[in-house]
Order: sequence, then C-alpha cells, then structure tokens
Amino acid sequence: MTMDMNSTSDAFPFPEWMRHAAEVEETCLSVAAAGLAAELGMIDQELMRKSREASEPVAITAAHPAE
Amino acid sequence: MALLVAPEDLLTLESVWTPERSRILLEIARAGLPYSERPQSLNWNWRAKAQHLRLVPASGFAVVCDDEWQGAMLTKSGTHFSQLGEDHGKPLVYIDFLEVAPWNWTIPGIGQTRKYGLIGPHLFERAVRQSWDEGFGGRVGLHALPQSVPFYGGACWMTPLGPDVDFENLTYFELSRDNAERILERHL
Repeated sequence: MTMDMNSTSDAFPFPEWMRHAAEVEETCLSVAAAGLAAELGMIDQELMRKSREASEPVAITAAHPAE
Repeated sequence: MALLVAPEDLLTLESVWTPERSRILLEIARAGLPYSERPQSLNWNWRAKAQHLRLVPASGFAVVCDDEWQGAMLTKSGTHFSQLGEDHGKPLVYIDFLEVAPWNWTIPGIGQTRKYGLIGPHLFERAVRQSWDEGFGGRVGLHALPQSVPFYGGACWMTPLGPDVDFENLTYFELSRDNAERILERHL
C-alpha cells in the first residue's frame, strides 16, 4: 500500500496527537524502528556502547548540577 | 509521486539516501560530534543485505513529497503476537522497519534542521490503521533504537516491554488497543 503526502484527506485523524508526536519527533535524533536491521545484523553495538558512555556523564551532571 | 514499498525497495531508497548519509557523516566528523549526538541508523547499509531482503515477507508504505522519499515503513501482519495484558497472545502488526530520510533528521550538533516533519507520526499512524483495518484492534509492536525510545514511548503512547535479547537488546514496544483507539479517535 502507498501513501502520498499530497493526498492527506484521511491521513490525520487525530490532529492533536499528530502535533504532539511531531514535536517529540523533532527532539529525537532518530525515530527508526529497527527490527529488520537487528535481524540482519546491522545494529552497530560499538556505536551503541560509545553512545551510552558519552551520554552517561551528561546525565550525571544534569542530575547533580551543584556538583 | 506515490511509490509501492516492498523490502527490496530499500535498495532504491538507499541509492537516494546514501549520499545524504555520507554528507552527514562527513559533517559529523568535521564537527567532532560525540557518539551520543550521532543518529544511530547512520551506518545502515541495505545494499549489503540485498539477498536477504528478497526473502523478507513484509509490505509497506512510503511518504513521498517533492518526488523524494521522505520516509518509509515495512510491516508484517499477524506474524507477531501481543505480550500486553488482556490482549496477550493476540495478533498485531509488527513494524519491521521505519525510517525517515536523512534530510529530515534534526541534528543540532551540525546545525541541521529537518526539511519535513510529521513523517514518523504519519507512518506510525498508518501502521495503527492497518492493524485496525485487519481486525487486530490497532495493536502494533516494534523494536526501537535507543534514540527512538522517547518517540515511541512518549509520543506514540507505546508500552516498553524491556530489552529483547533476540533483537540486539533493542527495547520492544507495543501499542495497546486502548491507546490505538485514542490515536485513531475511534471510540467503540
């Protein structure tokens, strides 16, 4: 089945939810669903690990701003 | 322009998206962005998996605007079953793949703002509607990248069911029938 952004007559049944979801979408670096990528071995565990390591010190700083 | 999406169409998609991925990768390298600020799907290479894609039993959807693929999604219908509450064991629509075009990623570290928004919500809502239309009550399941967790857990009202060891420890999410009805605004 196919969608076209130019024919959206029934594509936005809940504008309020859609607006909220779009706002969250913009704050995310990715909105990817990755089941197929995982099945085909395309998840870069090294990148995940480095990403986690890089974000942890930021989280600690945010949790203890006075320190 | 409207396009039919099948698993092997990811190869066509990649021929368009790969140059953009390369450009972003270069800008990220120049800016010295930390790993936490890099999109976690940046390294996906569907061309290397072409042989496998032809065997994937999925159908899908594309969002096309300005004659460009703005996003795409592959779904499997009735092959996965709910792990949630009273609907446990009932079939659902599983989103095997959902991705928006690289030019629609907002990457603050390199000053990139998305060209089009709403692509992710648009595709997700379509999967919910597919589930409803096929008699699955709007139930949807998927595995999310860590960077996608706030989107599916926060914006899409899905329930996180923890890391799945069979899927590279990605978090498995499900949308309940109740929340599907809220999204579709169909109250029985």
